Amino acid sequence: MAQHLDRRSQWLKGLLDLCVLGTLQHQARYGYEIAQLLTESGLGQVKGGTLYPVLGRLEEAGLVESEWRPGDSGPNRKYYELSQEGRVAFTELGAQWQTFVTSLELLIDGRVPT
Amino acid sequence: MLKRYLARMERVLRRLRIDPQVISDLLREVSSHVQDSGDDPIETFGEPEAYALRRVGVAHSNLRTPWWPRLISMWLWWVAFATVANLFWNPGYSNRLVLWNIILVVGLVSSGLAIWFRNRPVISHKHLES
Repeated sequence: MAQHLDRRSQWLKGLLDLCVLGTLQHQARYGYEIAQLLTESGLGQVKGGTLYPVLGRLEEAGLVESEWRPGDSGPNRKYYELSQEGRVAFTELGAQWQTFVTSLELLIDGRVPT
Repeated sequence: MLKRYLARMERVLRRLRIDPQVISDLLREVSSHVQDSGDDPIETFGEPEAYALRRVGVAHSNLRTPWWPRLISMWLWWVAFATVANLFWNPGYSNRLVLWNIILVVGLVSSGLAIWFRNRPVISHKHLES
């Protein structure tokens, strides 16, 4: 079981940028909300120490934009949303991932071209 | 717990001469997440020094143990060695209990320094200059 989780976590590391962009495609979200959404999506737990450097990198690359908003009852929260450039990047990355998954499925199903 | 975590993080970021506005933003980010989740900051973000470095994209290889605890430790071991040598070479003054107590104290202080500074590294000057 632990080995299974390790592998899942390794996969997620390579795809975290795409996953984070995916959580922001419909609305702006704050860090903890993104982490929860990733967990609820079955992608495993993403700790703050992993998530925020990714968000920072995406922001530096101009793919997401952020702003602080006052919390309703809790603390002030930094909301992230996709920039125009981020939407384009997300679409491209998504398409590349689909191609990759299709190739992988062919391999797993034993339908490799001979 | 959170206050101490943020203070340790801030110390490293200040040493790196990061823009105060950016430091404030990073600290608020951690604080907001911990308040939302109720998690232990070390559990969620890791050691504050390491996280601060990762967050601003500084390689872990730029971490150094501070020089002065090592110097103190070396000096203590030298004192212990000199005392032991003195006790052995002065036949009129031989007190094994004193000798072992000195070794014990030096060992404890050195180990204490090593443990205390293991997770409290400083940033190398090489990085600060660049």
